[in-house]
Amino acid sequence: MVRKVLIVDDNAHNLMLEKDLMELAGFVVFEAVNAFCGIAIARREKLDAIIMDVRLPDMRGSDAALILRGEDFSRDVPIVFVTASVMAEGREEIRAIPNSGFIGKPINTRTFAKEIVAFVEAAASA
Amino acid sequence: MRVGALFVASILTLGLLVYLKNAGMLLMIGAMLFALSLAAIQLFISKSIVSPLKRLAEAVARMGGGDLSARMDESKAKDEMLFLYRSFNSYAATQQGWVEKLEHEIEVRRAAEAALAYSKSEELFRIRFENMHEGCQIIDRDYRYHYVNNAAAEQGRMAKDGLIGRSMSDVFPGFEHTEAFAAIRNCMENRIGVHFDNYFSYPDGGATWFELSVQPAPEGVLILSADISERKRADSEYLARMAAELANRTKSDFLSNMSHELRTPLNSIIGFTEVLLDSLYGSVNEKQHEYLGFINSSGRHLLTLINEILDLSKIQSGKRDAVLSSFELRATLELSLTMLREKAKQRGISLEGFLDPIAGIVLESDEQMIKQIVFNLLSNAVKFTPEGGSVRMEARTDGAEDGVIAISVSDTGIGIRKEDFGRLFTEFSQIDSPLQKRFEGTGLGLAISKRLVELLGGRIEMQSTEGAGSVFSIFLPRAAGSAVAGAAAKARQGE
Repeated sequence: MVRKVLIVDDNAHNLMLEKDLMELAGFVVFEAVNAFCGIAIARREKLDAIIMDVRLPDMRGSDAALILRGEDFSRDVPIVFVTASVMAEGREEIRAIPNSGFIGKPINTRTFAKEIVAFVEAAASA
Repeated sequence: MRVGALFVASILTLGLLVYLKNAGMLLMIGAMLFALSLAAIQLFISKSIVSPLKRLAEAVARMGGGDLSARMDESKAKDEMLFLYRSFNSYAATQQGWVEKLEHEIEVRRAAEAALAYSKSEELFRIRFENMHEGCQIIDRDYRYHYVNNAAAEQGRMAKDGLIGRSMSDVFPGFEHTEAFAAIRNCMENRIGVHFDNYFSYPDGGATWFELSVQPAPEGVLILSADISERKRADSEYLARMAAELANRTKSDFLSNMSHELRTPLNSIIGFTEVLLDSLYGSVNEKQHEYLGFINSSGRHLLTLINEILDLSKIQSGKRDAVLSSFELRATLELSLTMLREKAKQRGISLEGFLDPIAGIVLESDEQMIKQIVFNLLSNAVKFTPEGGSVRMEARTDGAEDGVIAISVSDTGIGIRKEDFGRLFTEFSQIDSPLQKRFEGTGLGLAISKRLVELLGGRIEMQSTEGAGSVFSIFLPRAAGSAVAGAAAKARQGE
């Protein structure tokens, strides 16, 4: 069964890097450069995971996540925040989002996909 | 006298008639004469004795009622009555004299007492003005000192006696050109009070903040002054603290933004080079691999720099709080050795630990910080030691104060020149000698280590011989509790 992941990041290069790594790990990747497009895709596709940047052009990734948590289609989809805001405030902001994880930038390309998979599987078994 | 004579005459007449033996008739005539004389006597007594006595009694009653001016008319009395009247008048005059004299004395004494009370209350006021905490001075219409209390003289740093009668501009040359003087003149001319803070400059240098209240007074103006330098100092300290806090917050916001903005491109630099180095899309040739390695390690170096700047900034602003726990120190130190063993091996350096003296010792401190400090010292030692050299870590409880653990890291590296000792622990101070190649590193490691050691209540020491090697020693209290609280407070204050 093909697993589907949505990556929301406004930085084209970071988006491309994460897409490559997830595709190499066997995922079908959907891309969005802002929260609005990301939510639209989440509504359309049945996703296994969402990889979300925090500083997005139209809203905070944490706010986008709250919207996703409020809708039936995305309520239970695991969200992994991948952000360059690694200081305490950055982590505080996303702590309240249920079923969410955190990976700081720069990412470790050798473990990135594995971490996502581990998180998705842990969320599924929980 | 007349009454007596009349009475005697009547008796003699009666006797004569009795002698004439005309008894019956005589008796009747005698009785009539007797009655007649009695009436005459009564009339006489009433006119010459009873009325004057009555008037006298009235006068006495008036006197008794307080009218000491009551007098008897001496022209209306004769003989004994005149004597009586005189005596009364004399007595009344004496009495009146005495009373008037007493009244006058009472009046005089009362006036004296009132004057005394007045001067006493004035004295009281004067003393109060003299000694009150605020300065008080009265300036006359020619801008001369009319009155100056102790505090005002003290505030002006002048002898009080020498001020009275002198003009303000004479006492304080140039005072007539100051804003304070303009305010005093405005009050003098327009009779409107004013209240303001004034930074008063003394002729012999120095200045103090005063709060001045200038009010119109009959003599000229009244100036009340209070030294508010303490308040101003507190105000400026408060402002400085606010500014520092704002600067700190700005700095913290800046660092947070900088960190984010640098990490975003670094993510691509490090990530893509790793993807290529790992040949995820086919292999690269040896030269390309080497160059990709350069890009990758440069990116990682930048990342380390960002992390260390953030770390240092956190420590400096007191935001890096020690998290205390109990842990076995030996295990922690061995973990740090393990982390560097591979790197040492790559460079052909022997890395050894001599930790037996602290076996079983449990520290009450921040394990993460100690790991960071020790890792930093070890990686420096490995970095600055040439191939074939050795690095050793020792830990012991002796050779230091009670309750203190000494951990030292020694190497056979390039050493440090004496003249560089001083700046070794300051930021961005990696020693760069023209004869030696520049070593990889941010120059922040030792500065961070020193601050962390101090945060844990310890200290760091260094001994080195250029070309022969260095020894870095840290001394850590077994229980960092109280030191941590103090150091954190100090770090916040120092900001």
